[in-house]
Amino acid sequence: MTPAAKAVYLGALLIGLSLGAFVGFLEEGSVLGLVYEASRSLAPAALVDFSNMQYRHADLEHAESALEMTAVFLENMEELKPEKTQKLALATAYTRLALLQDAVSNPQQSHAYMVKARSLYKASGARDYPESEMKERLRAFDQSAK
Amino acid sequence: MALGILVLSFWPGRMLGVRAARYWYHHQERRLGTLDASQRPHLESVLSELVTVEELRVVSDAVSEAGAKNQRWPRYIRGLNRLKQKSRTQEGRSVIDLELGIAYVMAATVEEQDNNNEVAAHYMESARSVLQSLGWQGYSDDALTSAAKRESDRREPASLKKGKEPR
Repeated sequence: MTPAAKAVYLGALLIGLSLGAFVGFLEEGSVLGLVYEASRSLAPAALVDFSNMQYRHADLEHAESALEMTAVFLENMEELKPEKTQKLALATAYTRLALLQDAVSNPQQSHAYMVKARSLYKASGARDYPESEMKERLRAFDQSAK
Repeated sequence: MALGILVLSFWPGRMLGVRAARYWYHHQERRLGTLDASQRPHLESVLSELVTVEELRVVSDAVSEAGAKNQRWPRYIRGLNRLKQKSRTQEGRSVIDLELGIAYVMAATVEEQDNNNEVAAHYMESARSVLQSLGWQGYSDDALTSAAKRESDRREPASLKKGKEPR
């Protein structure tokens, strides 16, 4: 085999490998991108849905534990990848937790939750509402959704 | 000969590209987030379990749209019970339990309409047991049915709502 032939074969090998790697990366990348996006939006939605249903129908203890579990999960998701909609969902969860604390006359804990809720609302780009107005808006929304 | 080498080397190159993409995505996520490394495995498990529950629901809805409508809820219940056995996270189990409770109520409604009262009662008993464990206290059978139906309707695809039969 002549040196020229060797160079041509080596060139063909390198081009084939590079082309294949490029196509494989693009194909897998687009699928993985969709899978990651889907899991990052479907999973929080499922848990938020769960805690909202628990808030509407369960007793105080179960509703509170569902909302807390959702809040911890969303906080972790925020650390993984911060997103506006996630912040809003988190702020809503904290506002509902505050409403539950109001129901058992625990204004201190309610205020602590509202501090978190307000800061998250602001961080998501929404207007800074007073605590009472945020609670009232959510109460009205929940009432209309019933 | 050179063309043959080019074509043959395309395949291993593609496999390399696939592996590189997986590695890149995995590490890109780790690099971007600030989540503590010890919390990652749990979060990944929760994500995976919740996505599986959502997928099961979507597939169940799609299958019932395509036909075999009376099998919608029993099939969904079987799937949820299988997922519950495999679930390793509190978050996953809680979501599955609530889905199960609602699915039992819906299955009971369908059986009642078909005059299979014994089967309906069995489903209703399962629903009551699951939902009570989730804190749905003080509900009569009728109130439990209407609450579960409302929650199911909220999420039902528009195409399934058209017929309005709870199958």
